[in-house]
Amino acid sequence: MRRPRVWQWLVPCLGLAVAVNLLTGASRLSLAEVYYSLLAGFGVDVAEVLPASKAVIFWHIRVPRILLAGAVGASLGMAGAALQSLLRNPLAEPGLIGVSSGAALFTVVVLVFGVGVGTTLGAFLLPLAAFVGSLIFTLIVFSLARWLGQSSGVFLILAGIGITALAEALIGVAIFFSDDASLRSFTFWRMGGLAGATWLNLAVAVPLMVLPSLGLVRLAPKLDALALGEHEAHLLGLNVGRAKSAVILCTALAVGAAVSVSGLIVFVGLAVPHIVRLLVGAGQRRVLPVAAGVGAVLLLVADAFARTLVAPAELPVGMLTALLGAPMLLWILTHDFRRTRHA
Amino acid sequence: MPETLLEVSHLQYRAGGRLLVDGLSFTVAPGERLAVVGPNGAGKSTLLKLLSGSLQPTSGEVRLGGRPLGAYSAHDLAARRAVLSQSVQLPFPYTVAEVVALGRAAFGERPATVRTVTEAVIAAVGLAPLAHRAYNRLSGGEQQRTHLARVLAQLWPAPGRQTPADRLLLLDEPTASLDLSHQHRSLSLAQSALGEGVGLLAVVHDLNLATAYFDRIIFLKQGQCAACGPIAETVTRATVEHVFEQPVLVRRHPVSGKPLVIPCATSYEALNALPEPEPEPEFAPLP
Repeated sequence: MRRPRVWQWLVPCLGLAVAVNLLTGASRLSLAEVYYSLLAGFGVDVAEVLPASKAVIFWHIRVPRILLAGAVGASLGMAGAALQSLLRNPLAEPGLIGVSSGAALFTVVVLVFGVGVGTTLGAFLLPLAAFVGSLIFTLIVFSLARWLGQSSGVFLILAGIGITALAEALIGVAIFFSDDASLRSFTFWRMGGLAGATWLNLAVAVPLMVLPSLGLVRLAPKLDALALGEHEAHLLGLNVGRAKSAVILCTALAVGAAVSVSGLIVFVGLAVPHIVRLLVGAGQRRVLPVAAGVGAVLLLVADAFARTLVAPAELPVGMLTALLGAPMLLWILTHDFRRTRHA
Repeated sequence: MPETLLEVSHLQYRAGGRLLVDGLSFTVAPGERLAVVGPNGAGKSTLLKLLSGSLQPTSGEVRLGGRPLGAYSAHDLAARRAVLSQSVQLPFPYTVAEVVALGRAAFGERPATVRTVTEAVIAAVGLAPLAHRAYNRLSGGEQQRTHLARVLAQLWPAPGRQTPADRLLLLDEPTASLDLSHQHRSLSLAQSALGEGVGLLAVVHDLNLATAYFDRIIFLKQGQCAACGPIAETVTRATVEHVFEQPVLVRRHPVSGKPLVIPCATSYEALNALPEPEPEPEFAPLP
């Protein structure tokens, strides 16, 4: 179907969100300062008109953070769209297959028991633990689902719920043994935040988000076939097991990388696909790229609020996405439901 | 072209200690139309799953185009046999054209090729006015026709791609949610749209649709073949009453001359007391 060209306004929205994030924050940058900082970045000598601290804020705080927000938002949006299609469940989100709970469990273990602290991993320890935890738990959920019944999304959801409950219980145990400081760090990690954006983190995490996301785009026709159900997809000639594994691997990698650098940012993966389907219909070839764009815009906007509402302090961006996303989702669901009922 | 398209020999399927399909053997020739009828629970849907390769038989074999089903890759099999299942749910707002295009989803073709095939099938099925409507807002009958178009698209000849000689269409109650005219339209379409040589095997509930649109018929009862053969010789009062345990009359269709099955609410005794029908008046066949 020829739909209105969604990119015609999505790209300006993205530009606007980036601009707002460049200009606002604990320390304001003017348009001129942004311009000079850009020039400085390309080697032009602007020392006379621009204090060095402003260029540092621009290049080492604002830009990495915008890139991270964009990459995380895009990954979460795409992963959500892919999983909803794979599980044939409009309420599915990346947390459902164990990604979030695994990351949370490994993170709390590092924070509370100090596992691995003092090793050469240093600053990478927490993101690495979260990433490994998310992959291990996704693998457990996937294997358990395969063992329960090889070909049904229902078993994946059931296994995900069971394993998530188990992880929550273990997190509870860890919290019981925690002191105030580690409990506070964990609580904030859990509400998500993009303050950890450094060029070093970006260099490791962004490829781990971008490559699997491109993989998901390649899987788009298979995701469409899987939306008919695994049995029908098999009859259409799809190698269902392989397609399913590829989708889960890609989502686990992308979301695991996102969670490892930004904590748990909820509702983006759940709400973005709904918004996108209202805009461009259900075909994954269009849904996935648009979901990346909408996810990036959404997280950039949320992060702009997170950084400015209580400046110079900062709100956890996951808390804001939940505050914004939950009512939005409720509206979408009731709107959708009423529309189908009266159709 | 091979002499038999589908060859089923001594097919058995056991589940939960029960034989759901018990020693079936039959063939479908290229271009032939075979109806499978029988009461609920007779094993019709299980048979269709065995023939489509979704279930592995306990014993016996299914060969398509001379090769066992297991010898085909999923992809090669999908180019040769398409299956219209009874109910397919689609939880997202795909358009009709997108659903039809799913028939080619596994073939890795260029989008332009898929579009060409999709447009041809949509035109053939008469879905053009609905092509850009959201599938999940259509009526049950329109959804069923969309899925029929999807499975036709799967077997449809594509430009720049060799069409397999041995193609088989499996339909599981294709007319269940269709109104009277669409029941007939769909069945005549299914047999004609794909052209020569495509075999058709369908599970049908309405015996009179089976007699009107198929060459041969299999009566299933408790997983076994109760009767099998050409329509005119096989659809008799004795067979139908034995298989369905329901009193019926079988007359000749006044126009087509094919058997016409009339279910009766009365007892067998009352039916047996009926006089033999008058000799049929002669009708000129419709042009």
